[in-house]
Amino acid sequence: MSSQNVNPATVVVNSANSRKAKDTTATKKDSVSVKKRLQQELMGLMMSAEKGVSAFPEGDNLFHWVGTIEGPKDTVYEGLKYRLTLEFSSAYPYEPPTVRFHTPCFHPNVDEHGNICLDILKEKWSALYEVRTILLSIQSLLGEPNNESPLNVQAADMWSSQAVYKKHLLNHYEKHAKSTL
Amino acid sequence: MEATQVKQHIKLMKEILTCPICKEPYKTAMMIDLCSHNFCSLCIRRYFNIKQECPICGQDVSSSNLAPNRIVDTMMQHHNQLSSLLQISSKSTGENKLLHDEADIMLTTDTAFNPKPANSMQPSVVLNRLTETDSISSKTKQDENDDISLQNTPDFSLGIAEFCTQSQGFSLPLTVDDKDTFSGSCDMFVPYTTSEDFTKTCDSNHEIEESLMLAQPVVLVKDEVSPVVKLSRLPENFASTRANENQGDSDMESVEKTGCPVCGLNVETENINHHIDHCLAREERNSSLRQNTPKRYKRNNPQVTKLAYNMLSLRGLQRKLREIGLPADGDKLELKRRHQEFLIKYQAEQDKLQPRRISILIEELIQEDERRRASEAVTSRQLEYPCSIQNEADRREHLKKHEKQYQMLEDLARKSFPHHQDVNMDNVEDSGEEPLKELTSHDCGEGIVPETQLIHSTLDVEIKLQNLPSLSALSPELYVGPSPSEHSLIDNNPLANGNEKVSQVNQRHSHLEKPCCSNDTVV
Repeated sequence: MSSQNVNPATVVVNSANSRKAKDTTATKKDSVSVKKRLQQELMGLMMSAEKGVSAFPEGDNLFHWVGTIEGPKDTVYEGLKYRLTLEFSSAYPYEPPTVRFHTPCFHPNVDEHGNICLDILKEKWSALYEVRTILLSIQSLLGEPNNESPLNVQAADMWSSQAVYKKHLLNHYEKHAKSTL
Repeated sequence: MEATQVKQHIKLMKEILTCPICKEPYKTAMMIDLCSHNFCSLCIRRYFNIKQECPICGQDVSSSNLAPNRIVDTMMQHHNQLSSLLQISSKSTGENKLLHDEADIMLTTDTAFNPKPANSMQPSVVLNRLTETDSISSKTKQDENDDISLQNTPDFSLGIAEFCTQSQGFSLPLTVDDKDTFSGSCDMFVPYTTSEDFTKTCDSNHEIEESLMLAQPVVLVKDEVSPVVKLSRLPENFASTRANENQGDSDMESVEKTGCPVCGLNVETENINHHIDHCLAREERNSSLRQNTPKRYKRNNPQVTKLAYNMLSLRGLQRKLREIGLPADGDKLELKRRHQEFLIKYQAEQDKLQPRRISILIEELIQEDERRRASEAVTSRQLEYPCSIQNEADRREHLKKHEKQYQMLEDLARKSFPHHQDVNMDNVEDSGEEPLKELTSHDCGEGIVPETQLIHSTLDVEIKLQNLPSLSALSPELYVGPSPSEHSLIDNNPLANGNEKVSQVNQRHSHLEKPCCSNDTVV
């Protein structure tokens, strides 16, 4: 019984550093069903054409996607574009994908390597979430950061004065992000 | 216009009938009894293996809270029929035909669902109905009885339950009328003739259900016959079944009687054993009627219970697997995974209306295992390629540093692989979608990636890996590895010889991996 009470979140958190190790330890479900589900999601994404959010597998590896989100309207991130990478394990959707910012992002809940602190990607993950909902949640996270548990303390401190934040943000975007897009 | 509306509704229905976990139509829908959310059996059991809560509302539940939701399965079937009908009719005939077909299906669903409530109908409801009709009949006199029996003449479009209660209702006044003709058995009908007495005797549910059961075959089979014939038959039926209990009830004050422990009726002591047998058998029959849901599997089957994997030794686990009939090779982790997978599959199978045998399941599992092993070899290699660009910043720095060297190497490589090399480069750059679409169509249709397909895709990846600037930049040895002749051999006749190619691919992968791994130390 004890084996079933393993918190999948811990596995995921550790995996950021040792993905190779995870490959061998994670419970492996048949990759056929995972592929099927990912294809379904891809179809859904193409059909729905969500505003400000898009994603597509990179190359022909269905387990590695590249997503793009636009900063939400009426926030300091308006008009900015960010690219993210999503990596799916063979236990998806029972385990969350590893999502990180490919474009450097100045945000209280994003660290310098692009790791995102978002509960639904960790302990609050549910098999119901999909690429579309993940990207939408990250998009809304941009406008509504959780300053209680910041990964980027500087950004969290700066958030209170929006004008200063925006200036710094645009500066940061010009400097680091433009080159990667 | 109507056809588009129908299509829209069918589309909506399809959305509703989609499992939220696998995003596909429900396969053996299971409902969580606490929150009434539905999932495929396999999906939710896999989910519970990781997290014991409802994926939608987060309520703490476990697999014991699951119950099959057969209505969803039946709806699924009808939905499939409907959509296939729609496709056919929209091609061949007009809209009218389509609507007609739809109506037909609606009818069949009705009839499919009706027996269920009929059999499980609460006795109290039956009782109410009976007393109602009875009170009317007791008030009315003989000449009015005909009218009532006409009123109560069964409407054949009704469900079985209504049908039976009505037939029961109109049988009552007639038993009063025909008292003379059925004088032999009329004593036993006395309690039924007046409403007050009837309600008293009907306190025990068995009475009602028995009368229902008896009424059913007669009335239902002879549905074209006039009510009088039916009714004249009904008492006969009663008489024959009750004959041995009630024989000479009128003249045997002297005969010893004993109360039946099952139904509470006074029965001749001589016949009590026979009567009890009858009573018990009847009860069994009734309970089997009431129990509409199929028998659930035994939860305590020793073969297929959960195991405390951490408490078991490797040998213990191997033994358990052998007991089931599963292969017992591999390390403990692999064995644990295999057992878990079997358990989930087995339970999901038992949820089905008609579960297949375990041996079939095991065979399937073994096949799947083999397939997974084959694909794992592929995916793990596929995964290594994003892994190698993990340290973005480092990689870029490294690239900048040695830009000239790489340029030179690339030029060299281009020269050594003249034509098809360039074509491949183009493929990688501008049409990343194409191979994917190909894959999608294959997968959706068959559910399983065909072996050749897999090999083909690995080949593609393989070739792309070589051509990808990032990787080629990181591992200059790569270009030295495979000779041009070998390369052209593979490219020129794709899908010609599967097995050979796999081995070649594997060989080349081993070439590939070395530089990848050593790269970390270089940077």
